[in-house]
Amino acid sequence: MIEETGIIKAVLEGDTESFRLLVQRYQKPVIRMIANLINDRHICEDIAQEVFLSAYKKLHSFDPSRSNFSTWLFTIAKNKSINTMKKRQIPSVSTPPEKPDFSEPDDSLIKDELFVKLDQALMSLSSKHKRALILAEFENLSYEQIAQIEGIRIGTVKSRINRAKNRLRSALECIDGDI
Amino acid sequence: MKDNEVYESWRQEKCQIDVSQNFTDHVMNQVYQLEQSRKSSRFTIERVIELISFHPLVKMGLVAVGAVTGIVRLIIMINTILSNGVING
Repeated sequence: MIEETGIIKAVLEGDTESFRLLVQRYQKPVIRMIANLINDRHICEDIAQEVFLSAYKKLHSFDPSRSNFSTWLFTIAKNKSINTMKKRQIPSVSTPPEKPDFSEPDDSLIKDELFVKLDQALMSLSSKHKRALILAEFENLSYEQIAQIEGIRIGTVKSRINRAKNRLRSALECIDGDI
Repeated sequence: MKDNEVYESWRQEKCQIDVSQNFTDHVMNQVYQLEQSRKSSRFTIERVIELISFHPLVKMGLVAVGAVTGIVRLIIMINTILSNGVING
């Protein structure tokens, strides 16, 4: 695997094609993060394209001594997602999907219903709590990286994640009683 | 099914995402378009410098403009010195 600093140096020295390696390496996590944040699969690739183009334009300002490339890229993705949500008036707390109608629940249906409950709980979180959970649980970023992306202290990151997890836990507990 | 098992399999499901096959190509096309527009704007400035540096007529014209400016400045300076001399004398 070629080192990121080497790729970035090559791009900055005029080897535009090397940027393809960065796109290929980070396209999946960036699209996944945006998709989970804005909950709209149709526009998340458009936003991700803007993220990579913006990263290319600002690459000269990336400082490896301040953060690693993924943290820097996720910060751009976060800002683009927030701007898109504001522009397109996507609510930070979106409407949860309809609960499926289960007449005779079996194991897979119960699992589906639990997943819907978790989706509903995730979508009912405020955007800052949702972002902290998504970055920690789906992108496996460290508390330190999330703190850098959000511009907050590590303690605040921990408390946001705990709060979000508690909401998800209580959603599961709620359905346990029904099943 | 335990809560943590449900949570873990939900988490795994949320981590899976399909990316369009041509996503990278789309991004790279935009990057190349950007580079092209950067190059074309750079080309205009470079073209002017090149024209000045290598075209003999433009070079002569610039030298002539420089020479005239120099002569005019010299005349103004001499004129100023002489008029000061007349006033003081």
